Amino acid sequence: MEHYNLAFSGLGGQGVMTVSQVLATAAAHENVQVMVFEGTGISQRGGGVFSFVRFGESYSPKIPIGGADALISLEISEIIRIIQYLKPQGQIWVNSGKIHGYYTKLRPELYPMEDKIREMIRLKTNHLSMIPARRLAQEAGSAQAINMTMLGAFSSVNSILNMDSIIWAIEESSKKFAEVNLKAFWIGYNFAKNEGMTE
Amino acid sequence: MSDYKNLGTHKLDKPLLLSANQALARGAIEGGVTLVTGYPGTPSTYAIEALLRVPDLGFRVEWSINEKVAFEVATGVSWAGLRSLVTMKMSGLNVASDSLVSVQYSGTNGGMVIYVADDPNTYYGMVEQDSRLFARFAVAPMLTPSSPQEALDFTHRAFDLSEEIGRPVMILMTTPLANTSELVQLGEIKSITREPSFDFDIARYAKAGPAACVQQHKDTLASLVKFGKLTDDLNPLTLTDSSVGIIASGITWNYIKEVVVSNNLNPCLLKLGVSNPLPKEKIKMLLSKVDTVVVLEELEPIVEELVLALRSEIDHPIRVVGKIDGPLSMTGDYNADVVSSAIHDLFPTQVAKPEIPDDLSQHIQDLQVKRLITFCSGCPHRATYYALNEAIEKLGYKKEDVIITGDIGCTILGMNDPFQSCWTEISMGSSISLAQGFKYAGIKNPVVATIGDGTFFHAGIPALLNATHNKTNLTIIILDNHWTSMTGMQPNVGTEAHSTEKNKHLIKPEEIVRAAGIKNIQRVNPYQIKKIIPTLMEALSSPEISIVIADAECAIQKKRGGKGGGFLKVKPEKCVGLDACEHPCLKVTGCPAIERGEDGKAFINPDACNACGLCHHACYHGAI
Repeated sequence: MEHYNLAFSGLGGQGVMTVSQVLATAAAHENVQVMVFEGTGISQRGGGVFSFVRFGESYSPKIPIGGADALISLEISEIIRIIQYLKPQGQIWVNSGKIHGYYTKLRPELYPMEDKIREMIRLKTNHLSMIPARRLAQEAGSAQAINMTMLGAFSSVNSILNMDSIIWAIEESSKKFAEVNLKAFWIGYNFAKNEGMTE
Repeated sequence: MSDYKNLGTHKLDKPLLLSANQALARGAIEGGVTLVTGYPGTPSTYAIEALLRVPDLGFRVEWSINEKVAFEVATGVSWAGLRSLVTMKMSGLNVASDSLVSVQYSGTNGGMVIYVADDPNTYYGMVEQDSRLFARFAVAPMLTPSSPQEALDFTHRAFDLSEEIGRPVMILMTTPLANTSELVQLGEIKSITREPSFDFDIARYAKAGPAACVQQHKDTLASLVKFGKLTDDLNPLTLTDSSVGIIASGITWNYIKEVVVSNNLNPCLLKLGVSNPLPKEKIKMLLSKVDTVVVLEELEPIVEELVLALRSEIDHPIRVVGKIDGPLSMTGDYNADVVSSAIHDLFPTQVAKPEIPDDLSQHIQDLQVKRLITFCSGCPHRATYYALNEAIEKLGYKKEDVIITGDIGCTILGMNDPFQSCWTEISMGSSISLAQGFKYAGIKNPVVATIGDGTFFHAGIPALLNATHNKTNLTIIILDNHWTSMTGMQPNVGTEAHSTEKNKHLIKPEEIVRAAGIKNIQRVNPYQIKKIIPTLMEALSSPEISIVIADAECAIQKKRGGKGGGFLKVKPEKCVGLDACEHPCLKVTGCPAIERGEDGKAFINPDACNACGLCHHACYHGAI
């Protein structure tokens, strides 16, 4: 298959690694070569995390600067962590919801303005889609399923892998949460299908 | 999720999606191990974690009390003729090193493999340390896989190699490799059935006088030479008509391969799958064909120094591009961009210098959200540090009057906001001995050491006995949450849930402290803030060594065990708002469950709250 490079970012506990592994499992199911890099650090205790998923034959688990076809961020400000990896005019999918940490809860003005984030994104691309993923995930029955909502939204315009494999991989990932995860995936999918890339 | 639950499968038809850690674990299964031991230290942790999730594994896997013990237990199995693997991160190798050198000199019988994970760029804290130097130091053979597939293949083979040369074989990976997954082709599982036996041979298994010791050293050196010959195929050399040669080791091989393939380069390439001994002849063959050599190795310039030394044996001048004269760095880890930058000058028309434009860079810098690495909501340690700071204040000391030494693990998060309690962090168990030193130096005010249960068991006990024996007046707080938590909640000798398994005996820190003859011991529940503050005040004022055991299970594990639950609520009519409040719960506890509501008042996220009650105590307005 053609190369396709995808980077995720978010905060510890948001499911960045789970959604990356879902895609990799789906790729493996189709015998597509895939490589996943987990940039976790001590994220469990409140830090940012990122991951790279590389489809097709690649060597470095880390995507080079300007090498990602698309970025998916599960938290709006965390797009900053991976923006440098985007190809010119690549796609950016961002959960529009903010998650504050200790310092920005105390001083909300320290959290970057959305306009500034959009301004930064425009330096790289016009293809930005802001998804109200938290609301959509809650509609599906679990705010925890933001990762699946974002994957659904991304999958509405991208078909790197067969939809059947992705659905299968979501079910495999957690039997317990398969139903709510699939619901979240489809709600995200339909939302983005109707909205298109917003910019 | 990945496929690690199928690690024990015999089916070979389909590759599995495995991280290098998991692939290494599979390599041990294929290699026919009888025992796997280790101590949790990320990025190495997930090799053993993967094994522990395999049903019906058929051999023993143990989180040992520390790396040295893990190493020695694994040695016993090897000396009895069976195969063993021991895993640790680089800091753990330092702990195990005393025995590593000794066993390397004595040699082993059953195949013994030591997996160590380095962490250049310190993704997980601690030091940037190059364990290849340890291999050299211990005369230990070392393999450096570059991919998850090689992690499996090298590990499997390392057991055979270890038996061929009669020495333990080290396998080194770094964080980015350990955390990378790909489709890995499995091999056959070796079935090894041997009766354990051990020959009486003092000259080999003891250090019986100078003659025996020097002979052991000679034998070890010879074994390393033999290892080099047996593993020549792991250092493939590709000669082309290019005048540029590139040497890469471990994961850096994949970075250069990415750059070579994507830019259609054709340099001479030497891949080092073996980091000790280094293949001198192959390096000389490369040098003789090129006029420029690029050496790609993270951290120490070990290969580069050898290249510089061998350069004098070549009859033409050779430029060496590495880190001694630049442009590569001695710190941090590499990636394809670092490699491109380093070789851009050599291939100016083919390799672009990767750059982040200034305006984007500026935005990235300006818009970063600073985030606090802190205790989970409901963590008992948060309550302990909160109480400790209050106790110090109530005794009339200023914060800077009382030295608090910290230790490794979750407890060290007390160094961060809002507590800024821990002043120091050295290594496992060091909080107590360092505090003793401060007292010996003549510090008049109380000195406090804080240490978690896992760290106490690992290396804190000798320090405790030393301070106790010498009647040093310290306050030692053992923050006992019953788990080795920072690395993902591994059990230790004091974990009840683990000790219900058969053949496990539960040991609590209090029993050990009592056995040392310390009189002044208090065990308190850190959530009972009103009790723990006076207890700490008493301990700090005591004229002799005093121990406070802050005893409450890790909030995450408690919840997983179905014991936690519940949440607290803010009464909005009583909350004066986070900005107006003189003692805001959010600010003083740093609890991640406390949010700023739209009205500026505190709001507790019921999904995140673990009902520990610390905010209830912290609120001066009775609003929680």
